[in-house]
Amino acid sequence: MTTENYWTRFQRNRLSRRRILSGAAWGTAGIATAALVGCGDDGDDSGEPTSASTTSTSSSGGASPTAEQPKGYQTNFAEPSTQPKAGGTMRIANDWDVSILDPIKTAAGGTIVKCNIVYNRLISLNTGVTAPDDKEIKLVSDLSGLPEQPDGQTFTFKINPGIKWQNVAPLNGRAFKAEDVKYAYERYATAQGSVHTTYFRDIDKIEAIDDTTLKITLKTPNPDFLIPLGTRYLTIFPRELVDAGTIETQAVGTGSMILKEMAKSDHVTLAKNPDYFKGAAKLDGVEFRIQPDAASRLAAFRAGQVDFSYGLLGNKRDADNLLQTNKDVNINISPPFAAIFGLSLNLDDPRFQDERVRQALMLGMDRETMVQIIYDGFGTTIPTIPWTYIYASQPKPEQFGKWWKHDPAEAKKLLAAAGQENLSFQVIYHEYTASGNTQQLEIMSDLYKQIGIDMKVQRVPYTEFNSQWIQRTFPEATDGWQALGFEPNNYFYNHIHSTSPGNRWRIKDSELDAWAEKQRSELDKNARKEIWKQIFDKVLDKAYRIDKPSGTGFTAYQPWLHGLRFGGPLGSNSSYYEWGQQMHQAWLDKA
Amino acid sequence: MTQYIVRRLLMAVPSMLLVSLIIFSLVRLVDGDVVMARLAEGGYVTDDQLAAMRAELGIDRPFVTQYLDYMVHLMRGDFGKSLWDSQPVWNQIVDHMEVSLQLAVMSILLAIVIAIPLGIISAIRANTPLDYGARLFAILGLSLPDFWIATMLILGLTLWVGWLPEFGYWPIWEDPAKNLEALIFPALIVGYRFSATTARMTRSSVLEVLREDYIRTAWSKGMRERAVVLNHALRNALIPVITIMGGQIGFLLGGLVVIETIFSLPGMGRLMFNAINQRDYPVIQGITLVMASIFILVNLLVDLTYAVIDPRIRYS
Amino acid sequence: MATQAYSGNELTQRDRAYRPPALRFTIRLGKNPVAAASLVIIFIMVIAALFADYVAPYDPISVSRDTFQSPSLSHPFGTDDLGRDLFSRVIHGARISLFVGIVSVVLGVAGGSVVGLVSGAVGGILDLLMQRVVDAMLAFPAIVLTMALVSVFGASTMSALVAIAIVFIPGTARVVRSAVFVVKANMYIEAARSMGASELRIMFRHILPNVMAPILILVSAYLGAAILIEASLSFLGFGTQPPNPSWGLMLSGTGRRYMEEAPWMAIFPGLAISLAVLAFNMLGDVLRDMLDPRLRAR
Repeated sequence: MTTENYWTRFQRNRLSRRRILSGAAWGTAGIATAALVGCGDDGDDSGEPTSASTTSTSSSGGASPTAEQPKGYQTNFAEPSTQPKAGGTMRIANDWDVSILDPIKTAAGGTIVKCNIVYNRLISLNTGVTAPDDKEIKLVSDLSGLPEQPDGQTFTFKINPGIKWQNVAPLNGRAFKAEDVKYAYERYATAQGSVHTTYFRDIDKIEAIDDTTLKITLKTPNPDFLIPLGTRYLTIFPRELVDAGTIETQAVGTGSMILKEMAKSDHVTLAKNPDYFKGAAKLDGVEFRIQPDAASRLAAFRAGQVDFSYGLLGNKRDADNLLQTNKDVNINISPPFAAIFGLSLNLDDPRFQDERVRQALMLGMDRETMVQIIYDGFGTTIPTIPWTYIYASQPKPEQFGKWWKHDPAEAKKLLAAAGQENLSFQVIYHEYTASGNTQQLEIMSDLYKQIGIDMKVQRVPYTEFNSQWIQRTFPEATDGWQALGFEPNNYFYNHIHSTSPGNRWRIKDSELDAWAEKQRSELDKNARKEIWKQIFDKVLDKAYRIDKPSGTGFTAYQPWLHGLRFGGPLGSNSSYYEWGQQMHQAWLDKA
Repeated sequence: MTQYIVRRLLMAVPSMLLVSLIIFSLVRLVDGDVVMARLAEGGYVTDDQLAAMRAELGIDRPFVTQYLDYMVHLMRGDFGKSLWDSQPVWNQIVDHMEVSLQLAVMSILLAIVIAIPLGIISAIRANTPLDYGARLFAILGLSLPDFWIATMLILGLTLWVGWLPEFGYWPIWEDPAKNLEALIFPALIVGYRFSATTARMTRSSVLEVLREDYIRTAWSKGMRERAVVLNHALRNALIPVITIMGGQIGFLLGGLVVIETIFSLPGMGRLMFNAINQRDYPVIQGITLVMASIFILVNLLVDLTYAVIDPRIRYS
Repeated sequence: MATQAYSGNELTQRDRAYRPPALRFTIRLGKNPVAAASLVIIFIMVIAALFADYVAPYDPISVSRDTFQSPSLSHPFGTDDLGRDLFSRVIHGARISLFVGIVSVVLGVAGGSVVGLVSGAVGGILDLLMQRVVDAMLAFPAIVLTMALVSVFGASTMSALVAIAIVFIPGTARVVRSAVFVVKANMYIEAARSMGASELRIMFRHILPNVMAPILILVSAYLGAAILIEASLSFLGFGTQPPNPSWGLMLSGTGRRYMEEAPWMAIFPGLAISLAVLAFNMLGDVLRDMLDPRLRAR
């Protein structure tokens, strides 16, 4: 290896990668439940969409006659058949410092995923080693079982037996009661500074009938009411910490791990809670190491210093490269069901109010080329609203309307008709991924140049970007993320209704408003789906959002790390680093 | 002497006030605030909720009120609490200073060990291949971005040695071996960079001393005298070297954000970098004032050491 | 009086050679092999930067599907992750990196020189006040200043340039001020004053030419530093914006990320940075040897 120079090694790698991958020999082959995921076309005969099959049979898969398709990456891989081993501390490399711990005030991902190991939720979403193939959101039991809901308006939860708060002052292991849930939910709903009040706006009253029974009554029936309760945002915290005034800097919950130490820009450590009601964790503890530099995280992962690392693989190339040096690493992929980032225009800008300009921007984008260049074909082009709400399998591009193709000539005509031949605007963005945002925008600015548009790119730091995106103060355009939602209202109301703060695109369309309101209270599933389809199609036809391609997600696990899985569909629990719900099952197989 | 010190310290007061005023206004000119930083990725917040959160943190008050309030607390030795995680600012500075201080000391020592012999050899053998080689080595240290040296080092160790120092920080009194393992490479990189400037300075000051007539005479007399000369030259050469170090101390203690980021060290540079990104005003202000004080004190010390090195220097 | 084009020092030397000092100086510089090599490197880079549009074989921001091509005849430096020609990007990068380096140093050193000159020449209360401001600027952690300034103005090449320039002001002011004090003690200043020259005239006609040596040395030392600071700012995401090719951005972004699979993406921009900084530094070394009066051979 050392006698070769870089160039020859690189050339050889390019050849051998195909061989390795097509063999599908390593690690994960032959799992009956895993689905093979097609990787898009290698050649230029576009049109054929990248398809992802997530059902348990891989019959329809992404099989394409092209021989050169790299295969081998799957949505899941098998767990060892041996008994889990106990002991050891899991080391996780991640990049963000912890903010204030009070769950009602925090929504920052870097903080809540750590708090959520300490806290539990009333009910939860399905996560864990079998979850990544689930296309639909499934609610499961957590602190309570799934509720009885006779009329869609009252919900009666039975608290699971034997739950105690962690044996840490000031809780000292006291029993967990229904009253605790009532206290936490009421604080989320009404306390000063709570950022989650909207979740509770439909609630009429919350009652603790007795220690193990909680009853929630809504003002009106709401088909999606339960889903937010299962999300990472609404964990149950104890009154004692609020009373002691330490809720911002201390976390004592019911969860599988006890928070031990937080050292800013260095580490966060947790230790096993021996009294956890789902059974004590197999790990002795967990150590989050704050490592802001992606290249260093990769180096640490390769050297085996950490068992898991955030943001390790941005695309297939990165995954292939990791497997060159670390052959035994397990990798699973998560095909996106919705575009996470999109070119978001300020629709208050008169130039962008002309739908022809927006449609031209759609037509000017060569999604197929972007997927090829950035993701080696391992990506997909789909709209911001998850198609899973409307279609059973991934639709063909034609189903995304007449602007969902690359047609520079037509784009130029539209621009000319709108009098915007020399359109010039600036996009502000933040580099969230390893370099994906930058790469996409660089290609787009080149593509748009070809139709006469001058798109300038401005990279800004995290806070500045989010400040402008969340408060909708970006001047012309931005590379905005969509808030991943767990309930349909997220996509069919919050994102599009003209009065919703989540409508960061500033869409003002009275027809969409009417549909958004109508679907919210529609209890008939099929009728609701019909409205969703109308919304889906109209948003695309009016080109309110300039959707960009999305890369397939790649997640790597050290070969000795078991019992954990991330990378389910967007908006599900496991698509994000949801440690809390799985931590007690994780284990390390190390000598 | 005492009078001199007092006068210097008094002169520092207006400068420090100016520093506090600049940093206080500068951070507030930057777009976005800590509320946005904390909410990023979050659900939906109305403008009323945002306003309430700002009011709770007190960052919606008029500038002058905030500044006076801050200065009054500062006079009592209270640096305030972080807006990001509610931890006392002073504790955070002390925690992060530990790493930075150790890294600075190690880097300076390494720099001295590399630079002073290099500079002396260069001067004594001026304009010979040895001199050119030494100067090229020093100048190379100035011409490579430190993130580039660090990345190549990490990649080289990973691919060719198959070993990597563990990233992170372990206090030296808890685990000295791991502490050294984690800090030696960052210190080498910073020390090398630092030695480049120092070696050049040493070279020119030794050269200058060697050109004094009486030194030339002594030099030509023989080995014993040469040792005397070197001793003398070194004493004189130390003055500019110490001056440079005094000027660089601020950078060493707070400017190593790139190295700290790559090697995951919880030092002052990263504390500052994060605080700026999180718009954590009290932390930014606290660090700036502490760093400025250190800079002023260290430079006073540097001036005082001149007298120790060269007894001819007197302060008035 | 009108013939007094040069200050006292120069006048005595004028008897030896009838050449303007600038020309004389350049010739002397060119005879030094190290300086000559540095000048050639800088000259080539400046030419590449000025005529980038003609020299570069490809559009530096035009993407293609030929990604990650190793160096070849058609792409001497290879292509990057988006199939862009690296040779063209490095050439256009010279434009940005040198522009930032040169303009920031000129601005910073000019600003600092004016402050130092006025402070040193006028003296008194003004000097005391100005020095407190300079103290404050020196004590202000440079990294904080740059990051905060770039955040205020928005990350861009221009913001980085201005921020770097400001960082150079206090150091320059200090050096120039002390040089002014040395010069002021000379007899010819007293002579000029007694002959009725105005303070302003003395400052720019007599003092400035005599403090040019330390200023020149500072310029060459700062030039290399400015290019490196720009690269570091790019590493932190505060510098030049994509898809524009600055050396620092190429090296710290995808160059660093794909160093293993496509080392040329990092090697060539890295080499460009190092060569430029090396050239400026070596030139500075030579300048110091030639200009620093204490080091001048007697």
